[in-house]
Amino acid sequence: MSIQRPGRRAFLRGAAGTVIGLPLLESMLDGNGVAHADGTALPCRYFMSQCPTALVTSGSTEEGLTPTQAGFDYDITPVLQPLADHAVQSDVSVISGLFVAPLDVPGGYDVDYHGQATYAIMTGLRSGFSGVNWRPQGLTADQVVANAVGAATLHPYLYYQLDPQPEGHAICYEETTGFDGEPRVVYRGITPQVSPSLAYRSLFMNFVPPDDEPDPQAELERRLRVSSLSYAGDQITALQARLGATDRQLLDEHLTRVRELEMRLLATPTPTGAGCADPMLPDDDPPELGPDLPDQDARADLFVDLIQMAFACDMTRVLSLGGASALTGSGMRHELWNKTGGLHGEVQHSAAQAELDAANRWFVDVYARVIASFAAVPEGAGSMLDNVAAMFVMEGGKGLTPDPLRSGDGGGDSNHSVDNAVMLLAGRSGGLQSGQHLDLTGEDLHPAVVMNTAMRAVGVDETLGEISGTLDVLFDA
Amino acid sequence: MSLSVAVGLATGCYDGATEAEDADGTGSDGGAESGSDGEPDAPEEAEDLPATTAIPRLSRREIEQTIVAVFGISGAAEHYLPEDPRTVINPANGAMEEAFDTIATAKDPSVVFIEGLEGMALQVALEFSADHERVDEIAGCTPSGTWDPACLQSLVEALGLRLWRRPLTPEETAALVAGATEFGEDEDGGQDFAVRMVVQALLQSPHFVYQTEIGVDAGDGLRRLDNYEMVTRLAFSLWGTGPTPALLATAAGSDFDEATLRTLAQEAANDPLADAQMQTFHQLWLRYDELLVTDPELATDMLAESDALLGRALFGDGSAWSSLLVADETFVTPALAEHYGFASTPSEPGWVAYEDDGRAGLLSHGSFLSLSSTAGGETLPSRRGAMLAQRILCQTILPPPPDIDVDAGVEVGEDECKAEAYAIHRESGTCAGCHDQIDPLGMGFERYDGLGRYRELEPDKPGCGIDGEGTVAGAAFSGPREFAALVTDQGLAKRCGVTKLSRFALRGPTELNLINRLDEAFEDSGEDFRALMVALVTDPTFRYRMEQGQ
Repeated sequence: MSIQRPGRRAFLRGAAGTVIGLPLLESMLDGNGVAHADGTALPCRYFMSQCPTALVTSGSTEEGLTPTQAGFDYDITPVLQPLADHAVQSDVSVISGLFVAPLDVPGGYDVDYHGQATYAIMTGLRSGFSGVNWRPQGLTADQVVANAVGAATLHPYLYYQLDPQPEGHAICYEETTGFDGEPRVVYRGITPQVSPSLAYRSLFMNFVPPDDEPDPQAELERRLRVSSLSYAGDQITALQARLGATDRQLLDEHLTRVRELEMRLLATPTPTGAGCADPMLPDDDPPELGPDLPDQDARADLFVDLIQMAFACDMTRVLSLGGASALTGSGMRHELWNKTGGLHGEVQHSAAQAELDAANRWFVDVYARVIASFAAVPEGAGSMLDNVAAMFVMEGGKGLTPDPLRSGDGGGDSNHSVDNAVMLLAGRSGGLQSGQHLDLTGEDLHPAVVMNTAMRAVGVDETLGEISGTLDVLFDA
Repeated sequence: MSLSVAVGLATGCYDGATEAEDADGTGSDGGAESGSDGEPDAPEEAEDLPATTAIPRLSRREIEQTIVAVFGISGAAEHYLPEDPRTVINPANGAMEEAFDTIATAKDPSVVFIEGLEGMALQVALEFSADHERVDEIAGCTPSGTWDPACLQSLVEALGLRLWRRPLTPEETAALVAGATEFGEDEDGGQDFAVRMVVQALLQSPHFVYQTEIGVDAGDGLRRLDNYEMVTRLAFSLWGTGPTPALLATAAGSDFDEATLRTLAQEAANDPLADAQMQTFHQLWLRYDELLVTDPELATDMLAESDALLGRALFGDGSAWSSLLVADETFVTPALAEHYGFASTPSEPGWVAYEDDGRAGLLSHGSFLSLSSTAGGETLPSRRGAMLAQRILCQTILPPPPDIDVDAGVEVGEDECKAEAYAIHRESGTCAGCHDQIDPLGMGFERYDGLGRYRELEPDKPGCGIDGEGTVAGAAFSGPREFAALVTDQGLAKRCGVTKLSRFALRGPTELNLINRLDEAFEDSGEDFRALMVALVTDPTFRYRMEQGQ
């Protein structure tokens, strides 16, 4: 069915609809070019890209990601080749030798690699010891940051996902209120937006270019949307009065979301960055290449463009890009690995290491393009990347020995391990120094230390879960 | 061996859990007597109802179908709303369970859903308001001039009734008209904008998105649904869409007596909408449409094969429902027949009788068999057995212990035969509890690879013959034909189908006595699935809901 979509606005289009990044006018900056002329600081952004794989396939200990040379000018490995291809190596630090223990220790996990390890990484909390599997027992890092800085933007956070399959486990968990006889705090997975076109609509449908003349028709449309939402909210409140406590709680949450959307529509955002432009995404998502074979490349392209402008237009300062819905990428298919089981059983466990390296390289390529897109937006005295801390987080590392004290599930599978794990950290927010390989092998530092580092870089004075400390060496002296 | 006995013998991973509370066996016919307040007493059977929400959210599919029925607009819900979860964690045991899209507890009002709902409402409103002919038809009037509040009110009342599945109160109508008047009177607005406001407000209201079942107090925590809630529950159960104007009109009268309700149910069950709902239910239950086949043409042929069998089992002349599992012929294209290795290949798509390789019904189809396969079409007997246990026998299979790496599967040495390796694995103390339950099921299908092809030797191991022998409910079997015969003769598959249907229709847990009554009715009808659906909606408990927190 061809659906007529409501109109949207175009802004600052160049030839053939390309996005133009305009230099921020000097008059808009302070004397040092590091703040707005009115004294408000340039926004700091926190970004995380999640790769739903480990470094190695089952039984393998050799992999193509970890550089051999530490320090600046580290060697570009096959999996990291996209950093060179997109000219961002000097913007990206590699942190290797990270470790999450399959033990009852701070930030550890209770044996079960798939059900627990990812959430130990994402929350910095020990995972699985309360008898709860496949769910964290605390906030994920993005939500910690969103709670600190999210009020400053229309969207306190955004969570997108590369693979269109919605089923499975989220990597971002929020705190909400459940009801089990009485209210209690629960942590629930956030539903990612898997549709680039709908993600675009959410950000840009109400977009108002700064120099536009008032448009009565657009204003009428906006009032219409707000009125209908307001009416729905009133209906929810009226219905709640007739329900039991558990159902009232459910509708409370529904009402909160409705009011939040109403407020976003009322806000009529005006971009603060001169690099902001409507990315003009298409109305529909890319068609599949074949039955159950998404066009992952086209989808990634759209998300890269959208993420760039979500930050450039200060729509949000916290953004997570998940790889797949199911932990380990079950069911995620790509032309590169067109296997019926997706990334998991038939790539991570059954394929040759070269196949997994190729898949990992694809995820690194998406990340590298995001970093490059940040660098392409002029901001302050440099680029938007100067005000970003952007992480690349992998689900697993590589177990070098069958040691149950270092790898999950009894230690028998090098793939089921968060030992010798690698993360990437890009950007120069808060004085981050990019472009170095920091080999932490033997120090058994938790990946949450990298997340703490990113949080510190964007001015969030928090630590993640039970893990404290930052990598001071990654900051300017 | 009956299911109940199998439950008693199970150890380890299998807890035999269904939604059952203690089964006290028989129930009455549920004839209601009027209480002193004029409301009929709740039937005794209703006391066993599990507590459920008063506001189960509609699935995306149900929202889409309702919008199609009311507005004639398709694709809006499917475009804007996120897919409903198809798994849910059982809080009682931590197991990840398959869930129908109707299950209420699997849904939460996420940002993505609320934004999607707003987008959907805006889209439908835009298209509908431009279709003046349809607007006038529903409103029963044509606006005079650019703004006609009286005609708009007619539209509010008519649309409200369809979308909220009950008449709007005067206050609700007045609020909507007042809200729309702002846009109707605006010089840039007019009637179309007012219509848009009404549609957007109605569709985003909780009264549309949730199937409200507040009812009236029936004592002991029970709520008795009113007529509108009753026809709504009936419509969504039998059709997957909201009640038609005709059904809503019957709800406007006095309470249905049993005879009236039975007539309504039978009419509804014979509507083409019910045919589609029955097919949808089976596809969501058996999930063969999730087949793991990368060859698109093969996948298309396999889906057509399974759809054809399902259609014949449900609607074929003289077909019993169990033919879904025991059918001795299948619908294949020439290519699919060749893929399966049939001795005779038809010259065009058509029904072909099975030969002597032990096939029968859906469980022989490549679509279903692929669901437990891996790279290159190889099988995972434990996974296949767990799937059969969960889907065909309604057994609960608990997750493995946390220190077990299920990704690795059972290790089979290069010089080892798979059956031997699995047998040794089952002898391990920690593994036996689950694998004694699931491996015998999967092993009985081992002569059919992950793409449904028959074989008697393991791939690349000519010394490893496959005996394909398994056990189900204490009896030996080999292959789909013998498995299907056992589980249908003992009523196990039928009972599981009844259980699944009740969960699907009632949006959550059900109880053992209801399943017993429906199972008996299904049996008495000669396995007429349409009759089963009638039995569900005419059950004495169908009109009741148990309040949460009792």
